[in-house]
Amino acid sequence: MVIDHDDADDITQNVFIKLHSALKDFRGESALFTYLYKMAVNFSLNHIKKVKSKQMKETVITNDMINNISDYSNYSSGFDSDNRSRLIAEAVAILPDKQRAVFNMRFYDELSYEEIGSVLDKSVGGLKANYFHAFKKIQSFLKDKKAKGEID
Amino acid sequence: MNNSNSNYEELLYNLPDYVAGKITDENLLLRIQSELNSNPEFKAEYDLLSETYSAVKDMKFSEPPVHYFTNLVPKINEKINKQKESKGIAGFFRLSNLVKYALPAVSVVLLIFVITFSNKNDKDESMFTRYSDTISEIMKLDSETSNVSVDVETDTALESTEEEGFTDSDDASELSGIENENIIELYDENGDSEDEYFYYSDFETLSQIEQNELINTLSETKF
Repeated sequence: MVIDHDDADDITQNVFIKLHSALKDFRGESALFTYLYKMAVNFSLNHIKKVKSKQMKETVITNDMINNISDYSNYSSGFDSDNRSRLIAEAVAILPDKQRAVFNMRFYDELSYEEIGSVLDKSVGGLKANYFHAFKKIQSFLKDKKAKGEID
Repeated sequence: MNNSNSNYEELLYNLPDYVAGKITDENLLLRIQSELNSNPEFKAEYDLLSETYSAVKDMKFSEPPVHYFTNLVPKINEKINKQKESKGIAGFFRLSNLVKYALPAVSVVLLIFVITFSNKNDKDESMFTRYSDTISEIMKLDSETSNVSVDVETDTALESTEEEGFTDSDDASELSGIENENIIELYDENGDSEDEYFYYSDFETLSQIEQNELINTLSETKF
């Protein structure tokens, strides 16, 4: 979800540290996997929020819009330098947070909608709609890049 | 119309899973296939989605370094230990601990402080009483034994000095004592002046023991 390896590393460590301290309060109402996954998603979403607000503050302070655009290169730092992969990474990175979470959980982690629903507290129908719209946005992004000749 | 729209929407939202081959519901599979055959718009959506799906599927991730996972557990353990240590120090200064330990400690210190100072005040008060008693005794003794009355006879002596040419050295010393205002003003318990004066000359009339006692009392008294 956060793409950058260093960020992912920090979040992974923090999730396990949190789990270590919170495990005594775990009541077993949900599977440990769901509990841990939910924690990881929340940490990731919080991290994304922090990064976004930091970027917005920097933009306001410096009034440098170019920095904002060039930040896309950071999103793709966790991917191969292959142009297509980089563009897809960018497309995934600009998805709305919750939509990106659904996309990652369904596409990469292959979780069932029921499992995703228990993590994000959403209905199966809503998740299916989210997943479809995520694809449509990626599709639209790639089409736009194709039109500009940035992709074959 | 609404029913067919919601039906179409439902099939559309299941399209990514259909492309991925993840739909197990036979009835849903048949409905999607039927729609694909009958609806060109739906077919176009399917083609575009298949293309996007393949593109995303082909995306390559760069793997984390080989040592990453071997170092992860020690790193987490180290962080947990650090947190425990910092909690140990910071925990001492927590509000609950302050209420538990610091508040009683401060109360005890305050109590000791109050007790100490109230004792000191009692001591001062008892010294003042002792002083007052001693002076009263002296005055009483003086009025009983002295040949010269302080109030009346000193005034008489003054008058006689003016009239008769006073030469007596003892009486002269008495006068100088008055003139130098070498007197001790007496106060009642409320600190008001009682308009009675203890003159230096009176001191000389006291016995050595009484003089010493008075000196000791005065030297201990804080004015």
